[in-house]
Amino acid sequence: MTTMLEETVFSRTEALCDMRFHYCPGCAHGIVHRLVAETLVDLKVLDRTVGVCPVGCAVFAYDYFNCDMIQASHGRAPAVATGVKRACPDAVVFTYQGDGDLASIGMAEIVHAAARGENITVVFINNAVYGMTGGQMAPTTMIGQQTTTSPLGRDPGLAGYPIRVSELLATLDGPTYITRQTIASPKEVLATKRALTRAFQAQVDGKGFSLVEILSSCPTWWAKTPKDSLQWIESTMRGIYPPGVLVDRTGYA
Amino acid sequence: MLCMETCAQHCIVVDEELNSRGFHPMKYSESQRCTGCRMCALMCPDVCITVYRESRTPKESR
Amino acid sequence: MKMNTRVLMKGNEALCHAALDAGCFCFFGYPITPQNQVPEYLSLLMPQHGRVFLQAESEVAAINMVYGAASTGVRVMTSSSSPGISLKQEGISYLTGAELPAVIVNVMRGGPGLGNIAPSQADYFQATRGGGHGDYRTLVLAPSSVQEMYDLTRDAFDLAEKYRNPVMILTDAIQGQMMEPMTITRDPLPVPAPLPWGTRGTRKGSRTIINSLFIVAEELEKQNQRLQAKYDQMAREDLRWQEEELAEAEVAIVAYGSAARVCRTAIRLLREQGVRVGMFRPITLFPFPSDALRAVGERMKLLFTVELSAGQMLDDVRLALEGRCPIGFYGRTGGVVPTPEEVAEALLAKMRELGI
Repeated sequence: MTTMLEETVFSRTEALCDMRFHYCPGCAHGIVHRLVAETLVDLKVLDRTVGVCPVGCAVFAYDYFNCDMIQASHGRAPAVATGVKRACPDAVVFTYQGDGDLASIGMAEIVHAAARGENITVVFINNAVYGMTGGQMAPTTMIGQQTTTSPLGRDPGLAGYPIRVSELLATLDGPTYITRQTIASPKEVLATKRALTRAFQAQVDGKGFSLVEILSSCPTWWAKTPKDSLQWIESTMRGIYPPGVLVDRTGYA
Repeated sequence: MLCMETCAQHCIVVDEELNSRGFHPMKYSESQRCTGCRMCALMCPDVCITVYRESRTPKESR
Repeated sequence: MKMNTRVLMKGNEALCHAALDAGCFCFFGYPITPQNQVPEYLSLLMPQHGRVFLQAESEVAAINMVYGAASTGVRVMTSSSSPGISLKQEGISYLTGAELPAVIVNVMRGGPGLGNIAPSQADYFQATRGGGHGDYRTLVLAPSSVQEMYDLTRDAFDLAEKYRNPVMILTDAIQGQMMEPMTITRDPLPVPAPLPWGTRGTRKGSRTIINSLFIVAEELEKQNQRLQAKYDQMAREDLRWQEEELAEAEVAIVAYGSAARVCRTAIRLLREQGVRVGMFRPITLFPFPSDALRAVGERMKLLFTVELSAGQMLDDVRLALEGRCPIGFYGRTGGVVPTPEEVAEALLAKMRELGI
C-alpha cells in the first residue's frame, strides 16, 4: 500500500494579504512585494512591521502587505517613516517607493533620511517611467527613451540627464547599506532577496539606513512584452544603472 | 507568462480557458517533467503558484 | 512645570512648556522667524524629558514626520510661521483625511509671499477654511496672552485626540516674542500610552491602515460625511469666546489675538469719552462662535471688527450677523500694528457716519 504525501516546495507567504494585485500583467511589482513580504517572515518581524506606501502604482500596497501600513503623500514616505521610527523605535519600518516618488518630488526627503542615517529600509523600484499616471518621463528615464512627456525621446538639452540615486546617496556618510539589484531572471530575483534580507537585518540590528534599488519593469509604458521587458533591463538599464553594492557598513560577512 | 518563459522543463502552457479577469492564465501541463525547481514561482508577479512534491511512503509491513 | 508655578515667560517658550506638560512625545520643526525659539527651546527640553526632537529638512518634511508619528498614536506637534504653514497644507489635508490627531502652531507674520517678520493676522482664511485641498477643517484656537499660549496649547492636544483631527494654534509674532507673567493651573501630564489603533505593528492584536485614499466615490463621500459630523460636534461642544464689558454696551468691537489686546486699550480710551463699548473676542476661530455673536449683534448699534489684515474674520462676522447689525472694520496690513488711538478714532468715525 502506498500513500502519496505532499511536501510544499514553494507557497505564497502569509505576509501578503489574500488579495489579487491590481498591477499590469507582467509588472514586476508583484515579485518585489513577495520578496519583501517573505523577508519580514524570515526575520520574524512581521508583527512589528510598519510599511509606508507611496503615490504611484504601489499606492494600494496597504491592501497587499499583511502588516500595519501608512499611505504617504507623494515623495514624503522617508519623512513619514522617520516620524514612525522616532516615535516607535522598535518597529521595523520600510518605505516602498517608485522612481517619481523617490527621485523627483521626494528627493529632499530621501537624501535627508539617508544623511541622518535613519534606521529604516527603503525599497526603491526603478522602472525609468511614471507608471500610475500614464507613462511620463521620470528622473531615471534614460537618454533617448520615449515617454508620454518626452515623445521624441529624452533630450538632454531640454530635460537633462537621468539620476543614479544609489550613487548619489552613496556619497553621504549616513547610509549603512545601499545596493542596486534587478529582477530580470530567477538568479537576479534570488540576489535581490538576499539584498533585502541584508537590508532588513541591518535595521533589526539597529545599524542604520538601508536602501535597495531594484531595476524593475513596466511592460505597459515600455510597450514591450513582459519577457522583452526583463531582457531590456539586462540589455539597456544595466548599462546606465549598474547593479552592485555601493555602500556596505553592516559588518556582516 | 514569465513562468512559462522561465520553466526549463517546458511544462507550463497557456490555458485555453479564460479566467475571471478575462485573461488566458498559465497552467501546468501535467507532463510529469516538473522537477520542483520553483523557478516559475520565483518569477510569478501574481504570486499564484504553489510548488509541491508528492512522495511515496514505504509499504507497511504486516 | 508644576501646578501653581508663576513665571515670567516669552510666548514661544510658553508654547514649548505647554507641549511638554501635555505629554507631547514628538516635535518636528524647521527654523522660520518669528517662531525659532520653539524648535530651539524644544531641541533642549525634549531630549531632557525623554521625548523626541528632530529638525526636519523643510516644513514639508516636518509635517510628514508629524503624520508618521501621529500614525503611531503618540502626541505630536509642529510649529511654523505663515510661509511655512503654506508648505504644510498638503500634509494637513492628509492628516485630517486620515483622521490623525496633531497640534500645529502658526506664529503669523506679514505676507503675502516672503512678506516680513512683523506680526499679522492675515492667515485667518488659511487657518479657518481648511487651508489645503478638500472639504476639511482644523479646530483653530487663538490665544491673546502668554497665559493663553500655554493653556490653549495644552487643551489643543486633548481636542486633537477627542476629534482625531489636527488642531491649530493661531498666534502671531507679538505673542511669540513678548514676555508676560503666567500661572500654571494644572499638573503636567506624563507621556500617555500610545492610542490603541496606533501603527506599532500587528503585535497589538489588530492591523491598522492609515490612509486617506478612497478610490470609490461613494466611500469617499461617506468619509467626508464623517469629517463633517466632527465639525458639527466641535461647534456644539467646543466653542470658546470671551465677552468683555458688553452687558450695557451699545457698540461691540470684535477682535482676536493681539488685535484684541490693542482694542482693550482702545476701549479704555473710548469709555473715557463716554462711548458704551465692549469687546467680543472669539477664541475658537473654527468653529466660529456665530450664535453667540449674533445674539450680541442683535442688541448692538454697531459691530466693529479690528484685525491685523485686510479683513478676513470680517467675513465670518458678516455671515454670523445675517445683516442684523451694521458693520464696521479697521485693519492694518503688512505687519503694521495699529495703535489704540487709531482704533478708537476709526470707531468714532464709523459711529459718526452711522449717526450713533
